[in-house]
Amino acid sequence: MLGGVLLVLVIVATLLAPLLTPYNPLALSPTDRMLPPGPHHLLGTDEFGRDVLTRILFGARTSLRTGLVAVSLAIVIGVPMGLASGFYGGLIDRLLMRLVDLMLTFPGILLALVIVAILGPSLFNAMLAVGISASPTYARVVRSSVLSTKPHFFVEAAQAIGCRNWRIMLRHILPNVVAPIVVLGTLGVAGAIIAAAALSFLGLGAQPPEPEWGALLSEGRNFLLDAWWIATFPGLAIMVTVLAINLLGDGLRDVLDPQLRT
Amino acid sequence: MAVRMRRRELLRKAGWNLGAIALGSQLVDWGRPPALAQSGAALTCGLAMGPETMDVTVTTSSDTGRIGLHLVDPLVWQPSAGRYAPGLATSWSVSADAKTYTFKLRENVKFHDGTPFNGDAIKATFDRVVNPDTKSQLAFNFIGPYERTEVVGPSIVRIHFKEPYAAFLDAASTPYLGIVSPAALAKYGKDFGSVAFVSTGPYMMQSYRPDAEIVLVRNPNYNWASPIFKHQGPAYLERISFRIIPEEAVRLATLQTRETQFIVNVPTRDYQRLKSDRNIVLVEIPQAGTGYSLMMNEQRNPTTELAVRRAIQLAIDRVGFVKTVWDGVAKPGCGPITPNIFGFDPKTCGEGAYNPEQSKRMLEDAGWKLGADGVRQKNGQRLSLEFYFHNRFPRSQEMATFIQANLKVVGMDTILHNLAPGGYFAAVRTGQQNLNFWWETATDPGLLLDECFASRHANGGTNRNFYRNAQTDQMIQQVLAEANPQKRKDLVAKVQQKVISDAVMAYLADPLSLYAYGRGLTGLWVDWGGNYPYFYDTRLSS
Repeated sequence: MLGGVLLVLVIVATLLAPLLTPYNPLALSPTDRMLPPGPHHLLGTDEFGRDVLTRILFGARTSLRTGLVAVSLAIVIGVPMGLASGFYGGLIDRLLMRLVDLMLTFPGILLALVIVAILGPSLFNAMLAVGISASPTYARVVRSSVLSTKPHFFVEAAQAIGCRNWRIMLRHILPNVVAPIVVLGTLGVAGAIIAAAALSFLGLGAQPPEPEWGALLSEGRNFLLDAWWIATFPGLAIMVTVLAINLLGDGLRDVLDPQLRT
Repeated sequence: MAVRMRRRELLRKAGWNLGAIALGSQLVDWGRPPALAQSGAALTCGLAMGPETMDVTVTTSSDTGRIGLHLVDPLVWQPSAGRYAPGLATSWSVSADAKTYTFKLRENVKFHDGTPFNGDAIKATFDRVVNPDTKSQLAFNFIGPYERTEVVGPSIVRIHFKEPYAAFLDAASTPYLGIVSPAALAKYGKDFGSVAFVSTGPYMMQSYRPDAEIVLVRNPNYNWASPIFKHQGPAYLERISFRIIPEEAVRLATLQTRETQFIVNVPTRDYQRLKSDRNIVLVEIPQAGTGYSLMMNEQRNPTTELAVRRAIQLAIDRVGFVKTVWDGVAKPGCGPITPNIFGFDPKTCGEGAYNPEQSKRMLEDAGWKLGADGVRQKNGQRLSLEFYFHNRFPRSQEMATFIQANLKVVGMDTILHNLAPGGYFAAVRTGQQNLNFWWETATDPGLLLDECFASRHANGGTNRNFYRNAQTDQMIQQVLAEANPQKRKDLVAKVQQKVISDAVMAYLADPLSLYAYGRGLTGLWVDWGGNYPYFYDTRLSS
C-alpha cells in the first residue's frame, strides 16, 4: 500500500515536472553554481548552476521510462521463449533452455555492459541491454509455470476439441501464468532502473545533457566534499523509487500468489 | 516461492552493486601501504592521464613527455625563455641562414643498455622520427623541415634543414626529441615504447602498465647532468613511480594521506583551500603553449562554413566557462598561443567575444533558420555537430557539457562522443568530428602555430582542423625561419590574426599548471613554461 502511494507520488511529480519547477533542466547559469539547498533552489544547484530538483524531476522521466521499456522488452523476449519451451518440450525446450543457461552464466550487468560495448553508449541501447539481459529470468519463470499448468484438464480438453497450439498457449495457458509475470515484472522495473542507472553512472547509458538519475549521481560524485547535494538527492530519488516499487511488488505477490492465500 | 527468492536475490545484488560503486574508489587505495618518505628513496607521483606509449619520439601525449624527460636528456635545456644551456650537447652553433645546426656532443655518455651515445644515435633517432612508418606525432612536428643528420665525427653532428628553421633549439629542448638507443630500437622493434624505452637520462624505465603505473629506477651510471642543475652524478631518488589516478578528488586525497608525494593537475576547486594548507606546497605557473581550445573540422559539414565556425566562437561564454568548469582558476582564452609565449598578440583577446545574439544573427544571415525542435536547419540539413573528446582528459565531460549548452542557445545541436583514447584518436585523425579539444604544452610560437594550422599536419597529424591555406602555410614557414626577434614577433602576430579571421579554432581558457607536493619534498625543477616537473635534484625527507 505504502509502495503504491509512494510510486503514485513519484509518477505524478514526474508528469507534472514542468509545472512544479520554474527552471529549465538544461540551461546553464554560471552565477548560480553550487548553491546549497535553500528557498530558491530546494535541493541546491549543480556545478553548472542548474537546479538539482528540476534535474531530478526531469531525470525521473528518463529513469522510469528506462525501467518500463527494459522490462517490457524482457517480457516480450522472455515470455514467448518460456511459453514455447514449456509447452512443446523436447528439442525446442532443450535448445531454448540451453540458450537461457548461456545467458544466465553472465551476471546481468556484465551482459548489459557487453551489449552496450557492441552497440555503443546511448540511452536506447542501455534499455535494450538491460531488457535483453533480464529476459532469461522471465523465460525460466514462465516455463516452470507452464509446466505446472499444462497437465490440467482444461488444457487437455482444449487439445481434445482441436484447438491450435498457439491458441492454447495464448488463451488457456498464458492467463494462468500472468500472476508471476506481473510480480516479477514489477520487481524487475526496480532492478532495471538500478541497472540502467549503473550503466549511466559508468557513462554508457544516458548521454549529457539528458538528466538521468545514474548520470546525475556520477556527475555529482566529484563534488561530494564541496557540494554533497548534487549526488545525494539523485541517490535518494533512486532509493525511494526502487523501495516503492519493491513494496508494491511485495504487495502484488501477496495478492496474487495462490500459495500465500488462506 | 520462486518469485520470493528472486526478489531477495535481486535486492541483495542491488545492495552489493551500490555498495561497490560507493566504495570502489576507496578500495583501490586500501591495498597499498604508504610509501616511506625518506631521502634517497622512492617518490610516487600522481598523474591525471596515462601515456599511450613511453616513446617520447612517437607520442602525442604531454604525460609521456613529463615522464619521459627523466628517461632522456635533451640536446639542450631551456632554463628561461629563449636562453639555452648544455644538455647532451656541450656547445652548438647555428648557420646564418638557420638551415644548419652544429652540435658538439658530450663524450662518455652511455645509453641505459650500455651502448655508447654518439652522432650515429642522433641520426638514427631523427631519421626514425621523419619516417612515415613511425607515425610520430609531436616529435614529427618539432623536427620541422628536417633534411638529414650529418655525422661529422663521433662527437660532432650537423643537422640540416630543407628550409630555415629558427625554432629548432626550442624543439630540441623538449623531451620529444630525446635521443634513443639504436641498438634498443633494433632489438625491440614495434615494442619499443611499450615494453622498453632506452635512452640516456637519469632514470631508466623499470615497468610500464598502461593506465596504471610507470616505474622508473635511478640510472647508477648517470654522470652527465646539465650544469643548470644543482648536483652531478646519479639522481638522489632511487625510484619514481608515476601512478595514473584519473579522479581528481582521489588524486588529491592520495597526497593528503602521503600515499603520493607529488601530484599534477591539482583540482581547481581545491585551489583556495590548498593555498592556505600548511602541509602542502602549491606550484602555480601560467602554462605555456596553447590553452584549452576547440578545433573545428573544415572538411566536415557544417563546420566547413565560415559563418558556422564564427557563430560557434561567438556562442561560447568564455568567462562563464572559466568560472564554472575551472572554478575561476584560469583565464579566458584569447588565441592559439598563451600570453607568455613570444609574440603573443594582446589584440586577439578582444576578438570573437561572447555574443549569442550576434551568433544567432550570423547563422540567420547564412540561411540557418530555426526549426520546430529549436535546432537550426538549412536545405533540410540540421545544424548538428559531432563533438569528440576522450575521457582521460581532465574535466573533458564538464567542458563539453558547457559548450553543448552554449551552442544549444543559438540553435546548434551537439552530439557528444566521450571515448577511450584509442577510439578518440582513431576518430579525430580521420576527421569524423566537427569539434574536438586541443591543448598543447610547448614554448615556441612557430611550433605551436605549425601544429594547429600547417597543412602538412592535416593528414592525420595534429592539425585536426583539417585547415589548409597556402598563405597561412607560408606565413608559418616564415615564423619558423625567422631568427630576428622583432621581425619574428610581427610575423607571429600576423599568423594569429590570420587564423582568427579564418575562424579556425575557438579558444576557451588559458590554464595554470598546478602541481602540489608535501613539505618533505625539496629540489623540484620546473621548466619556465610550467609543463615539465623534473625530479633529478629532488630529495624527500620524512
